[in-house]
Amino acid sequence: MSRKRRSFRFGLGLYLSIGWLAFLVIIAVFAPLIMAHDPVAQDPSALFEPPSWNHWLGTDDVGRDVLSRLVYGTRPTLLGVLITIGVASALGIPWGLISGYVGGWVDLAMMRVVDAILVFPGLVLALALTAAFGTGLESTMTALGLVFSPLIARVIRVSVLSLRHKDFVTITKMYGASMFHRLFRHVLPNAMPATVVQLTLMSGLAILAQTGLNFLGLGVPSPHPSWGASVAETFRYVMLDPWAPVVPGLIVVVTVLAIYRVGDQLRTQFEVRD
Amino acid sequence: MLSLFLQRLLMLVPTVILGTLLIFSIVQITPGGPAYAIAGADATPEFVERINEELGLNDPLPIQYVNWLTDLIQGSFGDSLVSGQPVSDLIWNRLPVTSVLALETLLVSFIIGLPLGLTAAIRANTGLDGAIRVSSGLGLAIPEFWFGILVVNLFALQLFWLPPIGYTPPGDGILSHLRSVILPVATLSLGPIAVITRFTRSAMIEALEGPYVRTAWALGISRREVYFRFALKNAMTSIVTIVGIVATVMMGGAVLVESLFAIPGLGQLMVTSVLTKDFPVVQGVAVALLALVIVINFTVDILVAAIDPRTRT
Repeated sequence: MSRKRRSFRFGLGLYLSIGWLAFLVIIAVFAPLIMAHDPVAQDPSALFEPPSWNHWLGTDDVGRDVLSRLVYGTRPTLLGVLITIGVASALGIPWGLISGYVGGWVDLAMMRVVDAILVFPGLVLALALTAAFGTGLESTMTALGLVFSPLIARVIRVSVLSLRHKDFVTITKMYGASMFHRLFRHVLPNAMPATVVQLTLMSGLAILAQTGLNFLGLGVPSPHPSWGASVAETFRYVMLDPWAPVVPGLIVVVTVLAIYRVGDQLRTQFEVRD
Repeated sequence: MLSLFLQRLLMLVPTVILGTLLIFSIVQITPGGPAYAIAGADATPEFVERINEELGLNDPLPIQYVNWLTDLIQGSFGDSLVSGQPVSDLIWNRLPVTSVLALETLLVSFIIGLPLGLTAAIRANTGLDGAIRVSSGLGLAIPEFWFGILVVNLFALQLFWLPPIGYTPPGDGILSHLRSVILPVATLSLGPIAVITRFTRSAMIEALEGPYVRTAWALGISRREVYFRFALKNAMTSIVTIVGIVATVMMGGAVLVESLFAIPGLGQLMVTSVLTKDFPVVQGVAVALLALVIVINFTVDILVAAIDPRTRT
């Protein structure tokens, strides 16, 4: 009755996803070298130009090159994701390690805090933290990382709990290795696969959240480029160019789908192992 | 049954305390302290000191927290730093708007998501299932506000079928209310529909693989009866649980959607108060949303316990 298991073939979808993400990283790093236009430079003489050799995607309502804004917008996106998962890991991994390894009432207390944080809608909590930290890319992405950290803590904790009783833990205890040694050299590496999968999925959520915050003007300050800001801007002049909002949004969708595809692949890979 | 109710109610207390503690501490971690945030970066020390005295910020933190909490319970959320209005008034005015929006979105999401998920499960691994799975995957990757922009663009700005922004409360006429609310609800339900579809599908598939279902097949019970009486009932527990999660996620989306469609709800209030660093309002809205989420999750818990005797510990 078990139908054929949908094995995750290393198919076209996966290669396209990885390719797209690699492409994004490259253009983010090399943006100034490959883009001829300054994304912030306004040119009143060239408003709303249609695509041309000079401006491959035309110009926007204040004369900025649309393509440059999108390409440069990759930078805060990637930076933001790195900040978010960095903060989430920096807080979540020790949290989960301590909670899972020490156990007892420490574990209970820590997990109650996790539950309290997870009760809140993520974006609402991130917004509230933004009120405290101030707007801007670093502060909003840090706030997001804090909001996501309980998820990492939970994943790590579950791994730690299941690994505590495994043989290699007992063996290392027997030959007198210190607790730190045990945690870092043995337990943590085994908890990594599940954590990496979680971090990948978290990156997708981070991009969606970041785009939303930038759209509201709470993240990257204008006039600096970001994908969310591009969506907001194209909406401003949508009566004049109805198709304009499609491009930045589509880029976000494709990127998030690519991330999820890679995450799915990782998850299948790691589930096959023991 | 009553003892179960009380028991679940009691379990809420730690969550409420921790949640409010979290909201309380958010203001405290402002760099320089809340007084600086209110007064501005170049305020004189005397001015800051005056603010500290007036707002009781010099008391030890636990006392501040208890004071704040007792005020809260009595319904006093403080006053807005920007307008001076009592925060509770602001919240009270906007709560019905957000609640109506949330309720309608939940309804629509379930009406669309449940059947989709069931169909996908019943026809698992066919082309239809694949199509449903792919579209729900898309629903999870599409930024809701972008989708909102696209539909506003199409239906309001190009076709002129629907109003682009604004909100008409149901009291002013059901028909115009519905017209004003179609686009926001459609936008807000994108994510929830995807989640509900996926979850219903897996819950249903799992239920269909259960031993009692197999027995039902073996006994020759009609397909329809197997699906509805046996599988669906057992999947219901998990499905009802997802309501809580969906509601929580939806609240986050509501913030963006309300801002996009200029709907005067709690979400929009949150955004403006964050921009103006109006801490009492931020805290107030956070508490209000916390209460909303807790109430929803509590209701779900009770419902699950009522439906499935196995979950009553």
